[in-house]
Amino acid sequence: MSYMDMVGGSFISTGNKQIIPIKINFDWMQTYNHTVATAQTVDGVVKTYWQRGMAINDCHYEYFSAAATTMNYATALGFPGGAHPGYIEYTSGNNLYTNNYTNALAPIAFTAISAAPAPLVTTADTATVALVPGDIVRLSNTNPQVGQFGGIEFTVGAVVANTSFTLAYGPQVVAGAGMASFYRKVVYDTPWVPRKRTIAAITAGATTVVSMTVDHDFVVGEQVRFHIPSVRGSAAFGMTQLDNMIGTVIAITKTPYTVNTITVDINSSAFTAFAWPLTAFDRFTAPTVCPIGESATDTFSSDTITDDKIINTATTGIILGGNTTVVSPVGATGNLIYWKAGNFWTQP
Amino acid sequence: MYVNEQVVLQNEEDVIHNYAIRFGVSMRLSEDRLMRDLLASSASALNCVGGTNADNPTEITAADCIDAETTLASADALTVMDSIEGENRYATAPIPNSYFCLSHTSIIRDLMAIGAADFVRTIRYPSQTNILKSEVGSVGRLRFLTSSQGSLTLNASKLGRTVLNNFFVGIEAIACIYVNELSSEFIYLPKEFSGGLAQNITLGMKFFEAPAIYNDLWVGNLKSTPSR
Repeated sequence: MSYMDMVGGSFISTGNKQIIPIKINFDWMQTYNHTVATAQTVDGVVKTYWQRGMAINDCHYEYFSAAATTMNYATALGFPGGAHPGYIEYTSGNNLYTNNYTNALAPIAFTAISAAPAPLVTTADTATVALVPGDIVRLSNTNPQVGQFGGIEFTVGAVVANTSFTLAYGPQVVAGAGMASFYRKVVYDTPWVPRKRTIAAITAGATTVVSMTVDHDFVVGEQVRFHIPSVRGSAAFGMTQLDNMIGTVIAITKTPYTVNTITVDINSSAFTAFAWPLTAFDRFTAPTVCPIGESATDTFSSDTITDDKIINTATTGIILGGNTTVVSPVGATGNLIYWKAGNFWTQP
Repeated sequence: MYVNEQVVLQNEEDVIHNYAIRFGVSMRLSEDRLMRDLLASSASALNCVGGTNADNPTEITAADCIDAETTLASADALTVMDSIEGENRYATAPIPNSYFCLSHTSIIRDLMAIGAADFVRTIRYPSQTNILKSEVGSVGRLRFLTSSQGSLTLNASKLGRTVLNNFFVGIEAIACIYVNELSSEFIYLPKEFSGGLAQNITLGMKFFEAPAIYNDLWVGNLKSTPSR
């Protein structure tokens, strides 16, 4: 038998989709729901099988009958009574969507942005992309009222289904209404960690506190460089004194969807104030904070810092669909799932 | 890569040689992509703002190229290429010592739109001796190298259009780091390793390399959108 690769593992289901990074070139995958098999749950899916060549979101199901005495067989897409979740092959990349995760491609319309500290975005559709707190969205076509947000990414805070969501960390701007604008869900954040981030706000002082529009992953001891651009022909962001300065992160504060800051050892007491443009603003470079290494005070042996490295966390693998019920590859919340994946030599 | 014994019995060397070439291309392509993605993720950004396509960033203009060049020069970044002195050749122009700008091929149209006064195509260089095959021309002290593997970010502009990431670099700004002086390894396993009937040769490739930014002030991302 020729040498082939196989990998496997297990997880406890949350009832929702499960991303399985797979480190080999794989052609097939199977899952086994150990909980359902043990309990012989009615209609419960015990085994699923996927092989390269199947349609997106499809797989084979082997599931208990209504009486839980025999096994039935169906496909995910052709399941009696309607399609159920299957497998989606994915490749995470540098902030690009993959065609395999089609939910992310279409822009979703929104009509207003409020003047709240965490701006409220009014939209009639959050379900298409299953928007939840913590997701990252990118706005577009926000002219004329809130043009300064066009192309910028934000972490989503509170979501009211098919009604609104907040941009968790601001910045606060003058409200816009009657907008014909769009948002896109960023499925895969850039895989290179620690990540460069757009600045939302800066609080000056003996030490400087910086808030970012998307959840950051900086840790204490890392060094960052600030880019606070001057804008050609228009009012700048202010605090241009901070441009190109290097600071060491001395503290981080992260309260999900409320606070997302780093504190750096830069005395900005005498700097001009920082502020995002309140109203529509064209053609500018957004202010950013970029990781450039770590401070000399940290040691190589530290497990909490990247030791001057930027780590590539990109993966390929499978997204196992979930619908919080036992009729899915991941089963219900708390189900124990075993899985294995491998490759084979295709015979013509 | 598996090579079945039928090929082995008849034409092993040529087939393996071709696979080796393909692996080499794959390896260098992987190296380029890793560097590309690292720069797209980590390099400081500078939006083109001199264009007129109503987007942010705009299409690339000569003024934006000058901004990028100034950014590098202000950080004391040294140029990569020496100047090309003028010669008595019709329609040619001297080229100053320059930085590189690494771009997607989509930028070519907009570079041409900059106009001949500012964009000098390689065919108009006084000497054709030191021109890289992927070079399309220069604006100021930026010499543009393009590739179909260049960096793009989909739906990232103010109007939701594709953003072209044009990386302007000075000398020794970025590098590939190799492990223990190893660059790559081509692996050949004879058919005896494939199983009891010894039917397949196995070919593989692995490489030990990491992209790195040596000085974050000597590299940047000049973001632009296509003019149309």
